[in-house]
Amino acid sequence: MDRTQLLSLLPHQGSALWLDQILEHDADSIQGLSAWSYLQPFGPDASPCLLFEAAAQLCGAHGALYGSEKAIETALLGKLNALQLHHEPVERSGLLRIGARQESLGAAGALYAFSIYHHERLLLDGRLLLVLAHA
Amino acid sequence: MLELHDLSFRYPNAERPALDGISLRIAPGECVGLLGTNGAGKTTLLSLIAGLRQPQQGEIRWHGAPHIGLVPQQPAFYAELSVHENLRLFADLYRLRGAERSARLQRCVHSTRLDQLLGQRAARLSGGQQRRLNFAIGLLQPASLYLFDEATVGVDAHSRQALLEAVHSLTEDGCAVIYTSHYLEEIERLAQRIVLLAEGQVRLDLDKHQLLGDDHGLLLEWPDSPPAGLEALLVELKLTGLPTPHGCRIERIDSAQLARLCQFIAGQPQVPNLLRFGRPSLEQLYLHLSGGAL
Repeated sequence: MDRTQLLSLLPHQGSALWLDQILEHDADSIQGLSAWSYLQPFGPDASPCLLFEAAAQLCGAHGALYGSEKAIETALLGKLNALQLHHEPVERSGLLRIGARQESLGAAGALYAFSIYHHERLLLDGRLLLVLAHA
Repeated sequence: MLELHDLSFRYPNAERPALDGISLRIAPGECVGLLGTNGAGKTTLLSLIAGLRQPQQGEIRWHGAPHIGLVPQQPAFYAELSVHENLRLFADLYRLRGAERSARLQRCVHSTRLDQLLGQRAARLSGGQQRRLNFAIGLLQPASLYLFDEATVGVDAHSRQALLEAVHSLTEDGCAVIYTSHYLEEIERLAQRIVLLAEGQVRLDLDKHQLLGDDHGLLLEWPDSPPAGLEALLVELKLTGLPTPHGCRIERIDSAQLARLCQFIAGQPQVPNLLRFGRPSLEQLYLHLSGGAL
């Protein structure tokens, strides 16, 4: 799934969409690609931890694909925890591969464990609770 | 700057409302000390102002855009990130950029004495150090109103002085502050105005000087018992001495009366082992108010 399709799946539009591609997905998990360039508006010192936003959008895409027939109107990040930065690359270039696995789904929302890899090396991981409101 | 009009809030299944008809007005540059026993409604009120909860009745009116910095009771940072990473992340989330970002980060680190702890994982910090990180994250937010909810619990004395200085600087810069603490000497030092909450209602809202007054009192105690002649002197000076086990407490005394009393004390064979002269503290007054009809 490319960026054009993602724009129709998620409420994030223009530069607010931090995903470039969905690589694969099933009912439990999803894989996608993001890029360092989305941090550029935050300046050269921006924390790589901000990339949790790309992970949240990937989880939102998973929720949209498997949660219901309807498109997502809003995807709210209800909680972010266990956030861990494993290293900080000197060069901010190359693809960012994101994976997320749904750990539970309930009335409060969907809980995902996510991880972000840079050059096959774990960069950031954590858990997030996504509250999905369908159109 | 901010007006609270008839705010009420009740938690589900609660017998009584946590807040019941709160009306307050907060001006720029003002530091309001919010007092009350546990369960009086202080944290609920702060969470309503911060927008974390919605009032079920009443209105919050802002004059200008609401920009709020919050230092909550509970730690609000990422335990697995370092102190520096937490501060960087929150600086980005607060949309700080360039020189302002660097300056605010530097100032917050300095005023919370976190300079030596930047590389440490937040989870590894002591309780007091975690409070300082919480404090720094709250200060980092550019805001016109800062809310501090028991922000210095467990912080060592030296660091606490630095944190209080940081709060004081906020009001000097024209920001408003609402400060709750069980350390009443902090509120006495910082606040110009004292608001006392009881059972979800404002029971008292006064300027600190108006509340504490200008009357000075005297507490006197001797190792054994007060010297003979003291009682007669008090009558002569038209002073009322409230007896204590080894002396007395005089609630109001002027300088001439104090001079006569000191002359008398100096002439006695036994000197007092306690002589305390001054205004009543906020703590004394609070205990009196909350232990009485309130």
